Amino acid sequence: MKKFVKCESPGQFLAYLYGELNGAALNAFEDHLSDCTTCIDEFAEIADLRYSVYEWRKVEFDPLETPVFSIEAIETPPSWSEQFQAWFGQHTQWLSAASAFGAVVIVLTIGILFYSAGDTADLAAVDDPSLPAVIVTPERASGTPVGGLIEDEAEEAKPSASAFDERRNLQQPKTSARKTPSRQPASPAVTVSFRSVPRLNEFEDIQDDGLRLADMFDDIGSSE
Amino acid sequence: MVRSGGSSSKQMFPDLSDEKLVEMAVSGTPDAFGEIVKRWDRKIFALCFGMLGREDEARDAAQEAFIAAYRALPNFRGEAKVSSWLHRIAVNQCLTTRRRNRTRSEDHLDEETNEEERTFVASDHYSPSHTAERGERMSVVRQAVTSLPVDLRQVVVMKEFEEMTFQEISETLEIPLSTVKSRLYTALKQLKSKLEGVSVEVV
Repeated sequence: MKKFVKCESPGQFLAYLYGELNGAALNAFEDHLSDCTTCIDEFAEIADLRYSVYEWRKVEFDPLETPVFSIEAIETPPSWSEQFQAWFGQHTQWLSAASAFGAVVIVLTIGILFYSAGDTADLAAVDDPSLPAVIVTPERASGTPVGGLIEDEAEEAKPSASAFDERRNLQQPKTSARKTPSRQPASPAVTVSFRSVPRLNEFEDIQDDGLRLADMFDDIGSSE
Repeated sequence: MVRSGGSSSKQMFPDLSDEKLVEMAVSGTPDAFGEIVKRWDRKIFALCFGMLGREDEARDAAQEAFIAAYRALPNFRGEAKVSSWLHRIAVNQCLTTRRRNRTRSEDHLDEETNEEERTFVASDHYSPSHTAERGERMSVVRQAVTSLPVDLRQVVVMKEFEEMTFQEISETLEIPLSTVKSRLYTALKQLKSKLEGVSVEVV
């Protein structure tokens, strides 16, 4: 290695060997190389080693074809819809059956929606002011157990039902007048059976003889 | 005319030194200089390739170097080794070629070469024996390169296989430029010791 201190450095040798020495450095190196036997032998040795590697690459690697890299799409499992389509693609008879079933379901659905729309129209018509007001009247006189009441209890409830009816009849004109102010008083009242109305509880069937403040005001108002 | 059978041919004077062969060639012994060419044609070609960077130019320069050496045989005084003498002739030939390339177009380079003298350089580069020798040498080089430490082998591969410049290697590995050259130089030196430990003999 001492010879490189006096002459050229290994870096200069390598730069010249690989053609990366330019300009004045190149001319200086070549001038020195033509006169220095030591550097000539050193350079010849490095060049021989380098050519061994070069030859190895040329013989064993250059004939190899450059591989063509292609990024293939990663196969993802088919979605349920694709599987669905594939299955019916192979079983057309099931596709026909499913189509027929789907058509029936659609027709039925449309029919149900149609009739549901009719019921809704009826309910909407209840608020029509031109229609007579509906008065719900509990029908307790028949003696039939209502809401799970036994016969004796029903019998005991008869007077209270009558009192209830009276109270409701007294209140009804005012309620109707409050909800439908434009309604004609002459409109005939339609009595709907109390039994036909769903009941959430049975408290209304129990006789309530307590004095209500609202009744008192009603009585005062009526007397006036 | 001196004809070389190539480096892979069986040596006619296996026990004689290069200096003795030169003396025999000077005294007119047939095939003595051919034996020298057999021994040194590859190294001279490698030297020319290292200086010129192109195989065709290196081949021509090696041919001309051996021609010049044959003509200079009477002037060889034996003060230096034959290898150094041949190296100097080859280097001067390559420098001449480089200077010529700078001033002349490459189309005119081959016109001055005597076709008869082309036969100096091994003419059986693709003979079976040469192919076998080269295959054996490739195996040795492969083992030597693959046995290099990773940091050295990395630089060798990037330089020789990827053909990257020292600056590119420096930026890629994020190491100083001098370190890149030092690693490559160390790698080549280690290759030399590994290759010298394995003799390549093809009969």
